[in-house]
Amino acid sequence: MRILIVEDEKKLIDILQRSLRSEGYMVDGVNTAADGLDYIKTYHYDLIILDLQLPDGTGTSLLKRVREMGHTMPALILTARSDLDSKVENFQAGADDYVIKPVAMAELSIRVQALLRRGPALQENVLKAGTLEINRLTRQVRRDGKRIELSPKEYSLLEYLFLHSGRVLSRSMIVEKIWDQSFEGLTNIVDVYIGHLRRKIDEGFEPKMIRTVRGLGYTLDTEQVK
Amino acid sequence: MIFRSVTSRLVLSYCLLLVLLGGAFLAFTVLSFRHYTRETLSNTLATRAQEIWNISESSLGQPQLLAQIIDRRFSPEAQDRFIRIRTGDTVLYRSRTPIGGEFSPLTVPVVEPGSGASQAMLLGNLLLYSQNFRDETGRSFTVDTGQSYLFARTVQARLATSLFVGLPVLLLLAALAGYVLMRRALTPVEVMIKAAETYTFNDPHKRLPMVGTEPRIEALGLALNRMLDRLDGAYSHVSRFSADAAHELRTPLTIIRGELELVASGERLPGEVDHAISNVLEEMTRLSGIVDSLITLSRMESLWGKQSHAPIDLQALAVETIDQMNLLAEEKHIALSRPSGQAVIVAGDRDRLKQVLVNLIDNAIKYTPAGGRVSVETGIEDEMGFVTVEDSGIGIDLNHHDRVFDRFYRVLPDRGDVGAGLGLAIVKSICHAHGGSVSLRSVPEFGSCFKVEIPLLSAGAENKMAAADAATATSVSGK
Repeated sequence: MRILIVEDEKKLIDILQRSLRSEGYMVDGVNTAADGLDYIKTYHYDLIILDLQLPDGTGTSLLKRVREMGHTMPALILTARSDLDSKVENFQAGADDYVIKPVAMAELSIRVQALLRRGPALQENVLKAGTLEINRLTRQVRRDGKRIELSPKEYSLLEYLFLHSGRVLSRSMIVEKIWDQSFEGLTNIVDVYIGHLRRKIDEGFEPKMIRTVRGLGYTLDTEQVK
Repeated sequence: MIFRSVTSRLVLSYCLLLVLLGGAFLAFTVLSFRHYTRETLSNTLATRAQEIWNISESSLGQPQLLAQIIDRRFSPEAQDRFIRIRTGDTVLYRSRTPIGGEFSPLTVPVVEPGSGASQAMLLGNLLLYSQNFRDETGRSFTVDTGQSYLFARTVQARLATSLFVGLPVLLLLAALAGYVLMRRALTPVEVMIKAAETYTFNDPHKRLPMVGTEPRIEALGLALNRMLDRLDGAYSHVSRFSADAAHELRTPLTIIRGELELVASGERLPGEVDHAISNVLEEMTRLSGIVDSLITLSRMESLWGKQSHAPIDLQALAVETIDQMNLLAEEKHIALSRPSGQAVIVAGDRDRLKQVLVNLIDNAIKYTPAGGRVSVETGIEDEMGFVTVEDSGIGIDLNHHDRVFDRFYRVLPDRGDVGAGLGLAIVKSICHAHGGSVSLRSVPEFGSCFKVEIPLLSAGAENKMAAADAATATSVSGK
């Protein structure tokens, strides 16, 4: 899988490259819209990541050119502009995702993964890791065969953690996914819910599955229980 | 209070001036009139004394003839006159009591004119003039002549009375007329005051109306409008600056965060380094939160008055928000109560109004000690939908009430919250963008109550919105 990043900030390209390469992608980075267009004409890309403010034009106009040329690969906009108008304009120009800076690398790679439809095929109805079992149809959760009662929010949180197990999910990602934008900046609500979930899932069971990664967020560790 | 207005002060001061001038004029008029009447009468009496002497000099020895001559010539009784001719204490002639009876000739005392040979004096109702004469033999005679002063007195009193009554009436009329004229002259100022009172940054292009009556007032209005132009410019500059600054911070923040994340997620790090990186990452999250809040704030300000609105039920929105936040309250054993009652349909942006509720409820939970309560009520009052969020928390001292809605203002400066003191500023700017307001009542130690008011959805606006909604729904569906 090959990804192109068009971003005027070289340091940011460097970080994105390192982060995405560690996930196994091939990543090219260019600083200008003109270079971006040349690269897209020359190579085949499975995904493009575009900044909106480029030294020689906007990411939006570049995206429009790319779509006019008939390229259909997913495009992710990575920008500091957070207004609704800009979002709407870019989705209309053919963007597939819109990410506002600053973004956690973990979040970006999850979004990239989703766009490339390359994540683990988790379409099964029953998710299992060690003694933890989640039935997505009945929304029932068991650990060591014991039925665990979860509130709807707790269930959504556990399912979200499970579907991205092994990855660190930041509080703001969780808030945006499980609650909504209005709760932005109110990240202690995540800590409270994680606390409750922990009491139900991990208390009295071994090994502990929900891990806190300080400064980054939470992760569900399914590796050690296998 | 009324004496503090320019009009009242001006009228009052010129009335005071009128009183002083009027008083002086009155005193001068009364005194000079009194002096004038007495002088004139004295002069008349002097002439008469001379006349009496002239016609009586030859008949001084014959009292019968003397009386006849004088009575025929002067008829003192009919004219209220007093005439007496004497030499020393011997009276040669004395007129009888006048018809009006103003004085009694018998009791008029004998006054020696002294060295000046003549003298005028007022004795009760009688102005008496005495003059000494000598006949050919050198004998000294005194002619006393007098006139009733009653008439002069009456005229003087009349004058004084009419002045004393007339002047205050005149003064009152002048004050009234002055007040009315001043009010009319100040009408443009009143109009300007009304316009200035309603001026807010919600409608930054509004200016004071010009009512062209008084050039100086018009000039003041123009000067104020130019000042508003400059203020608007400065305000939008500041607002744009904070938005731009926050905007520019986003890319470096991404880079710093990315670098740290890569380090943190790499190979195992020594404990201290790991700890330090975690701390920095947590602060980075807070910093990003502040940047987001600043951008939200400036966007809200740029939307003031032109926010797109859909019908929102505040009551249902509050119930939904409370359900989502209930666990936060439960953690602290705080009773979080839901609003009861009917739907409150206002015109607004759902996400933004929810953010108002989230911020207020979060604050209430934060500042209420364990075991307390937070109650949320919704309703309709004076054509406005309202939400109140009341807590039994630590309360906010009156000194802070005006400033709690300011950016970066904190009542307790040492609290390390993510919001950095922007939460209530965001609440305020969202309320303003909706044409509403937020206010605070609080008693320290007993709790606070925040009240948000948002205009109700009007029936006409509802239809228009439904159409607009359908249009935007299709344009955003690509997301």
